[in-house]
Amino acid sequence: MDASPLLKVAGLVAGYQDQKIIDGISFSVPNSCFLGIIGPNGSGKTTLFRVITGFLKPWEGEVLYQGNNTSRITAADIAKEIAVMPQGMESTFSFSVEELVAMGRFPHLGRLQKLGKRDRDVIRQVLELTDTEDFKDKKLFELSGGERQRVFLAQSLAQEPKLLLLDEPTAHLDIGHQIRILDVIKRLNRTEGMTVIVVLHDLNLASLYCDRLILLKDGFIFEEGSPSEVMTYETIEAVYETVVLVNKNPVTKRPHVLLVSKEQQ
Amino acid sequence: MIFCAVILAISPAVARGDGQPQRIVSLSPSITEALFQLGLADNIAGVTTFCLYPPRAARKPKIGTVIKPNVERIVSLQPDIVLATETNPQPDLDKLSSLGIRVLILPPEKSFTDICRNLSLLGKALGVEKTAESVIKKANERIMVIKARLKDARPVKVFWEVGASPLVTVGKGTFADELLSMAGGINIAHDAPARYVRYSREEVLRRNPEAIVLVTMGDVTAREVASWQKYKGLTAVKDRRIYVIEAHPVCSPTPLTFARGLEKVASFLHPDCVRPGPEGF
Amino acid sequence: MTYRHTKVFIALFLLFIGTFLLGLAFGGSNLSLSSVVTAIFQPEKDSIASTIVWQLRVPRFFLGVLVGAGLSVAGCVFQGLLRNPLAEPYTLGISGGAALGATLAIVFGLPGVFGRITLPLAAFLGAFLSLSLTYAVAARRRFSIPTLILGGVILSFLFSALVLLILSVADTDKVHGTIIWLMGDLSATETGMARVAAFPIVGGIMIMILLAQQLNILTLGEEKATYLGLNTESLRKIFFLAASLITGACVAVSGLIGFVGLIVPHFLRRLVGPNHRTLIPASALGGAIFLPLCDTIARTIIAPLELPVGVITGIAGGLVFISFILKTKSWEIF
Repeated sequence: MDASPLLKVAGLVAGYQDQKIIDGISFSVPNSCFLGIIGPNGSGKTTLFRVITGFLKPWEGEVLYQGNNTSRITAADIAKEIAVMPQGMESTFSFSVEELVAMGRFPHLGRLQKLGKRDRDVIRQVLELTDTEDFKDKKLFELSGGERQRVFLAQSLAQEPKLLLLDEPTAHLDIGHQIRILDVIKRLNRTEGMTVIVVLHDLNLASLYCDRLILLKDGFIFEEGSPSEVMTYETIEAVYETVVLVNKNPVTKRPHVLLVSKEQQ
Repeated sequence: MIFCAVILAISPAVARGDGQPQRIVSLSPSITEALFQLGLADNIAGVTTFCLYPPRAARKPKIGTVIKPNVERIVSLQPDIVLATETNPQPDLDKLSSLGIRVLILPPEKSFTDICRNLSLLGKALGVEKTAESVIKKANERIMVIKARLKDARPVKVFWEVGASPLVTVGKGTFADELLSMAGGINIAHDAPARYVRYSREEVLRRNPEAIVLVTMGDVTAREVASWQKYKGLTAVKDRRIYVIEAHPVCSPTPLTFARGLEKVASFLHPDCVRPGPEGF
Repeated sequence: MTYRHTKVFIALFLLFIGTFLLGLAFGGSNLSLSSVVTAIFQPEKDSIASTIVWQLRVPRFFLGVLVGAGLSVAGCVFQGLLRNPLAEPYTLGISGGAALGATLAIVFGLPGVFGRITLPLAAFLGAFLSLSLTYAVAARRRFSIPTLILGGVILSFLFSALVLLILSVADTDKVHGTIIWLMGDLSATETGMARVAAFPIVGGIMIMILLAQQLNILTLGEEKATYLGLNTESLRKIFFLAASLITGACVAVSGLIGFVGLIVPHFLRRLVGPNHRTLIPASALGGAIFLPLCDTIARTIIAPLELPVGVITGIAGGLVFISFILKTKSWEIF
C-alpha cells in the first residue's frame, strides 16, 4: 500500500460570490480509506465536496491528487481515475439504464467512442454489482428512487475509479435501499481498494460504513478521526446544538446516535 | 448561287432567333394585355392566374402566379420566349435561362413614357414593331385630345384612395399620380415620401380636396364612400364629388388602357370639357 | 442498435426511395408516367420530359434532401442542447438575422450586385451576424443554457421587428418579394448554390454525429458532464456554432421553411429514443424524406399554382404529430 495519501487538501477557502462558506480546511485521505464528511446543514459539506471534485474553484488553497494539483489536470484525465456522483442526479431524457451506465465508460473510450469488449464487460459487471441488470432496458422514469440511485452508482462505477466521491447518495431512500447502496460501495472499497469519500446526512450510516470521519461546523473542521473518536455525545451536541445519547451498536460495535426530543426531557 | 444557298441556309437560324416567336409565355398581366393589343393573342402559350384582361386572356393555360411562376409548367409548354418583369422572382427567371429558354425582362414601368417604351421593346422583340408603334401613336393621340380640351381648365385638388384600412394613397412616380395631373387634377399627396403611402385621414381633411377618387376594393367601397360622407365639412362631400374607378386602368396599364383611364378621370374632374370615351367601363 | 432501431432505419430507407420516386413522377406540369420513365432511362435524349425530370425535379429533390436533413439535425441538436422538446433551428434568432439580410438585399435592390448569389449570401451573412451576437452574449456567461436561450430569443424579436420596419416603408413590389422569400422555396435551385451550401450542411451533420455521445452526456447536467471529463463550455459552443451554421446555410439557400426542424427530431425521438448516436442519423434521414415529400405535395396539389412548402410542412407535421400523440399511451415528453 502506498504510504502517501491519495488525496490531500490544504488550506481551502471557498464560497459563492461574496459569501465565504468554508474557511481553512486541510486533511488527507490515504489510499483505500472510506471517508465520511458529516455536519449540519450549512456547514459547508457540499461546498467542500465541489471543491474536492474540481467543480468549484477555491479562493485559496489547493487540492492534490496523487501529489498533483487537480486544477492543473484536465477534466478528461481526472475522469479516468475519479468518479463523482453529485446530489440530485436526474435525467430529463428517457435513456435506458444500459445507455446511462455506458456513459460512464466515456472517459476511457478512444476517438471513435466505440464500446469495445472490455467496456461491455465492465458495464455488465457494474450492472450485476448494483443489482440493476434486470432492468437494463428500462427507462429511468419507470424505476423507483432507490433503483435510480443504483443506476447512477453503476454509471459512476463504470468509470472504474480509484477514487469515488458521492454527495448524499442515500438521500430520499428507504433504509433497505440505503443499506444496499452503501454495501456495494463498501464491498468495492474492501475488495478493490477503491478509495471513497462520501458526504452523509445520516450520522449512523456514517458511523456504520466509514473508517474515518470529518465533522464540519460553520465551514471548518470541528473534529476528525475514527467514528468512535468523532461521535461522542459532547461533540455531537456542540455541533448540532441538540441533545443526544450515544451508545454502541451491539452488532457492529460502532457508535450509534440516539435522538432525544426537547419535549421529552 | 452559292451566295443564295448560304443565305437560305443561315436564314432559318436567323428566323428562329429574331423572327416572330410562335409560342409566348407572359408572366405579367400588363404584358398579357399588351400582347392582345399587339394582335398576338394566338401566340400566347401561357399566362399567370392574374391575367384577366381582356376576358379572353383568362382562358389561356395557366403557369402560376406573378410572384411564383411554375418553372416546370413553363418548360413543358416549350415557349420560344418568356416575357417577364422585375416583379417576377429572379431565381426562377435565371433557371429558365439556364435551361436555354429565351427570357426578356422588361424594365420597370413607372410612367406613361415607360409603358410606351416597354410596348415598343415588346414590339421589336416579337417582330410586330409596326403594330406597337401604331398602338402607341393612337394612345398618344387620345391623350393629346384630352390635354387640348383641358387647356384652360382650373386644376382640381383630388385625394386618390387605393386602400381603406389602412388608408393608402399614391405619391409621385405612380401612374395614378401622373394620370391625375394629365386629367387636370392635383394629387394632394403628391409630396408624399413614397410611391404608396399610408396616409392620415386628418391630413386629408386638413388639405380639403375638392374631389375624392376611390379605386374599387370590393365590398369595402360602398362602406368607404359612406364613411367619407360623414365629414360634412369636406368640399368633396359638400359638392358630392366622390367617384369610384376600377383598379385595372390605373394599376399596370398598357398605353391604350392608360388613355382610357385618363378619359374617365378627366370626365369626373371636368365633366364640361371631357366626356367618357366610347370604350367606357 | 437494437432490433427495433434496425426496423426503423429500414423503414426510413424505403420511405426515402419512395419519396424519390414520387418526386420524379409528380410535379407542376402533368408529365405522363411513361414519359418520366423514358426520361429516367434515356437521360441523354434532349426531350422536354428529360429536361423536366433531370434539370428540374432531380435537383429540387436533392436540395430538399439537403435542407431537410440539415434542418432536422440542427433541430435535434438544439432540442438536446437546450433540453427543450420545443426547440427548433430558428429558436436562437438565426431566422431573424437571415430574414433581415434577405430583406435588406431585396428592398435595396441588391440582387444583381453579385449576380444570383447576392440573396443567399445576404441571408447567410444576416444569419451569421445574428449567430455572432448570440454567441457574444452567451459567452459572457460561460455559454450557459439560460443565457443562450434568452439572448437568442431576444435577438430574434429584435431582428423580426427590424424586418417589419423595413417592410412597412418599402415599395409593395419589394414587400411581395420579401414575403415570398420568407415563406421558403425549394424551386429555383441553381445547383451551384446547392453545392456551396452542401459543405456546411453535410460537414455540420458529420460533426454532430461524431459528437453525439458528448451531447448525450451533456444532457446529464453541467456538473455530471464535467465529472465525466467533458469540457462543457467549449462543447456547447461547438454544438451551437455547428447547428447554427447548418441552419444559416439552409435558410440562405431555401428561405425560411418552418416545422421541419421541430417535428422530425421530436417524432423520431419517440421512435428510436433519445440516444443521439441513433437519433441524429435518423433525424437526417427523416428530414431527407419529410421535406421533399412535402415539397412534392406543395407543387402538385393545386398545380400550376405552387403552395409555399412551409404551409405543407406545417399542416402535415401538425396532423401527423397530433395523431401520434393521441395513439401513444405514455406521456413522456423526452
